[in-house]
Amino acid sequence: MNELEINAIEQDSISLQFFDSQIQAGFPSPAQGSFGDTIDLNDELISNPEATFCARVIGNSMIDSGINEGDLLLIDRSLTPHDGCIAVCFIDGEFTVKRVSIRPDGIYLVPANKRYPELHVNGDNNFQIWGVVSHIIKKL
Amino acid sequence: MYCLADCNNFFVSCERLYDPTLNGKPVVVLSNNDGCVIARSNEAKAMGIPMGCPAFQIKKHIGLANLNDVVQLSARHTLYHDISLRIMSLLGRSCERLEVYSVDEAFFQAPFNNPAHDEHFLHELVQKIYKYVGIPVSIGYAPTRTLAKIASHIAKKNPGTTRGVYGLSDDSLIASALEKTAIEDVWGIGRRLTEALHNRGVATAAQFVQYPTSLIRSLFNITVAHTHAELKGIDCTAASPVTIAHKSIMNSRTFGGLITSRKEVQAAIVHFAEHCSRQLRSEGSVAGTVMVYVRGDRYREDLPFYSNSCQLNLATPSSSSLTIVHYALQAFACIFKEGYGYRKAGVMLLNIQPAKSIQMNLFDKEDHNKQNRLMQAIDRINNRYSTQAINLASTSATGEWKPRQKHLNQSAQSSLHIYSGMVVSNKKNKKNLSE
Repeated sequence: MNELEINAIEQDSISLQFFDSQIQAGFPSPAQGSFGDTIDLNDELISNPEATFCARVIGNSMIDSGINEGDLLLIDRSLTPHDGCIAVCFIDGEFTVKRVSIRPDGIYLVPANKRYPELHVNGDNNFQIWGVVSHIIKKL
Repeated sequence: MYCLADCNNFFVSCERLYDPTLNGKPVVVLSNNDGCVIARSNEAKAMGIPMGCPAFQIKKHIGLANLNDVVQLSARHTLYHDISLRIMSLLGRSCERLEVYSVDEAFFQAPFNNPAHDEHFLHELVQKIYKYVGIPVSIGYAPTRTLAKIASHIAKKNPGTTRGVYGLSDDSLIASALEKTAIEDVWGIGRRLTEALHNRGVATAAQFVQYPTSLIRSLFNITVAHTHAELKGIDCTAASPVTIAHKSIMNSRTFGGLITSRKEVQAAIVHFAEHCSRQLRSEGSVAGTVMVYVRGDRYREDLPFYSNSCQLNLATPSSSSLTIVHYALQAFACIFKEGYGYRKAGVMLLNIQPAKSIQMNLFDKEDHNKQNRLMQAIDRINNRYSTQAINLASTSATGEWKPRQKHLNQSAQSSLHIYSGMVVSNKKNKKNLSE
């Protein structure tokens, strides 16, 4: 099970120099693109500040989707959950991040780690989709 | 039409957002040092726990129920403040003339002059706030604020039938609402007034309204007379001491061009707020309310037009630039929208009173003496050298907002900057959700 720690977000904005060319995993040509544009990470990552919450991942049930322990999730509650989205869900007293799968027989919470089983949500579960994950921020 | 948006059991709702296991349970939030009950869930209300009840007396009120079933939580005001800003910001962007009345209540104007359209709009707003921020809100609308307050109360008490929105849009609806409203539940009628009115046989708002205006005026003060008129549907905003000052200080400017950058407009707001607070200090006064407005260019038909304002009440009236700029920036954050051009902006200080007469707020944590000394020092330096020798760091963006002044005499070459972290921010509210 993933556990989550949800934080409030500071609204301070910081503009950073933006290197405006496609960066490949090699050496970029110094002649390409141009410095001078700035990028504000808040603008880039948060389109609905009022609806955006931040959570840190604990656990490894989503590692095959690139979500590792310690990663920061941006949750945009203004997004409507859809089949295949990754969402922060609340189920039976716990927060968890999983892929939401909507199938003919109901909603499934699908982990991205073979060691964890899928979970079929039924009427007995105390369940809510708390918010859709819009970005993952990870330290390399 | 005035609308009042009121968050349901606000502190409890905030706690439930971050801990849904609390849903359906009786929950109370306790004041600092876990003294008294300052918020109750509906379940806690139903058990008979009164508002303001000391924590150790809860047991006395719940009869045979088990005290362990009542979840008691310590207040986390930074968390509530963050959630409140989110809601006020959504309201500010969706509505006009937002007045944040308290952490969980705000007045604004209904956008259409048509009850059906307004009702539809307000229902969508309630749903949007619930989806985005997870907090249930009730909205009442009526011809006056006092009636809007009653309407929001009805919306809150009848979520099934009202779905969170109730309007007192015609006289018969108003009359029947007043019948059902106890006099002590009317906004502005406190405990002593209630007693005085009860002694005269007035138990409901309807009976109060029946009282002749002349008698009300001779028996009570002007505030009570305003409440009386507002219940009759006569808007007393202009005369109400709650929102309108005897005097105001205003600083605003039409920009040299149309500005789209948030930073630039914000820098202008900081400058205006600073300028207003300096004037306030020079008069030995303090302000209780900060109002901010922004306006686009109505004559540019090629661009969408946007204009809005927001006012906030200070925890304690102040003349400190730091405090006033802080509130101005919060108000600004509630109304600024990306993607519009801004031609004009301004800051207005209201509820101005002599500095000597301030009533301190018990919950205010600012060190006012320290701020006063800082402000005096800054004023002395600015008076001696140049009005802009020292200013707050946030005023110094590129200066695009400033009027075209190509021929300024640059007497101040070096300017000091005071860096202060007072952009609308919420220091990290960490909470481990998986205890």
